Amino acid sequence: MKLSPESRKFIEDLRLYLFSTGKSDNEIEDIVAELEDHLWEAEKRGKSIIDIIGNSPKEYMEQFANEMKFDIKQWTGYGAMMILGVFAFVLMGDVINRDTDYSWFELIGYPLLTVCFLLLLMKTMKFLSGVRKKSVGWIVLLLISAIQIGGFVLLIWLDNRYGETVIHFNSTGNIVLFCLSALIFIGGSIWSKSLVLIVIPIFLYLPEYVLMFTPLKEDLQMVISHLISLLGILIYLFFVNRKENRFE
Amino acid sequence: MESSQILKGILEGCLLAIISKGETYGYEMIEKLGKYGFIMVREGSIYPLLLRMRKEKLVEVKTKPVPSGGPQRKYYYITNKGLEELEKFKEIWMDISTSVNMLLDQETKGEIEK
Repeated sequence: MKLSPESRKFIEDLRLYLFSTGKSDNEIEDIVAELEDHLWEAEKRGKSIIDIIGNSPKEYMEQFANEMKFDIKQWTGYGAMMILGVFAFVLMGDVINRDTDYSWFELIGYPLLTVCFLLLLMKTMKFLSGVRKKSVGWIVLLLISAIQIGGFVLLIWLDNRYGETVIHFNSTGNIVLFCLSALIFIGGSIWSKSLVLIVIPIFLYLPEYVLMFTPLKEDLQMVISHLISLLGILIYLFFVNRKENRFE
Repeated sequence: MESSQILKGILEGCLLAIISKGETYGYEMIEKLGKYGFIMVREGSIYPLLLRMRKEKLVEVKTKPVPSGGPQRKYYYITNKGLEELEKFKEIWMDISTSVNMLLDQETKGEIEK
């Protein structure tokens, strides 16, 4: 089954729009499959997407959204998964750097920032479902990534300046934290059925850890480990992207 | 009320009538509507309505493979609640259409008398 590019674009936009307004994945796939079936029949008979949905895709998407409820259960799950994910990344990094002291800033800040980021992401996706240019999408995504990184930098700065340690972990505690993070990564990989949550932590933390045992100077260690991390992740994402495009 | 709102209510009743005749799917409903002259109905507009009707339990769906092979297709069936709703719609429609026809009819006569 091969739909016209206009129809495929509309289907993708609809999926994004409904997802970003918090609808259930199952319900979305259900609607999308039915519409694909219809578009397929209609295009066989020479009709265009405008004949079917009218001139305003946005208005049509809203009609669906109005009939569907916000799926709290699903989004609480996503939110919890993201908070756990951020915790796992932060904890594993801290364990490797032997910096497992936490202040209230960090304990409250990280979950709060993650939830804010998730909400921002949903709003952005809703906005992007109405945008036709791909470049605009990339710029907006870059912008919100910058906002998130900015948020974390601000948090770390606040913590360094005003944060008082309220929780401290000893070496046994560190091992437990490390195993906990690893478990979250493995669990997340199974849940999302992808290796991203295994590959990225490995590229991010393994070079740093291995280089610690070399006689290299600390600055040099940092530069090399960051380079390996960055290049490794970029190459991995490049291959994932290529594989996904081939499926289409 | 906007004209599209009125049309939506009528369309819902007509869809119930079509589904009450036996199992059917989206594209077939549009073809049937077209046969009766409903060309003002935008094809896609039936789907949000069908979704609502499903949530109100007026219709049920079953997914089955298409007879000619290929992807799954969603077939609609009417429920008892849907049949009740259809009867209500018929009554209301008879009342409205009789009244509207009478009124328009008299107006035309009035015009002639002048």
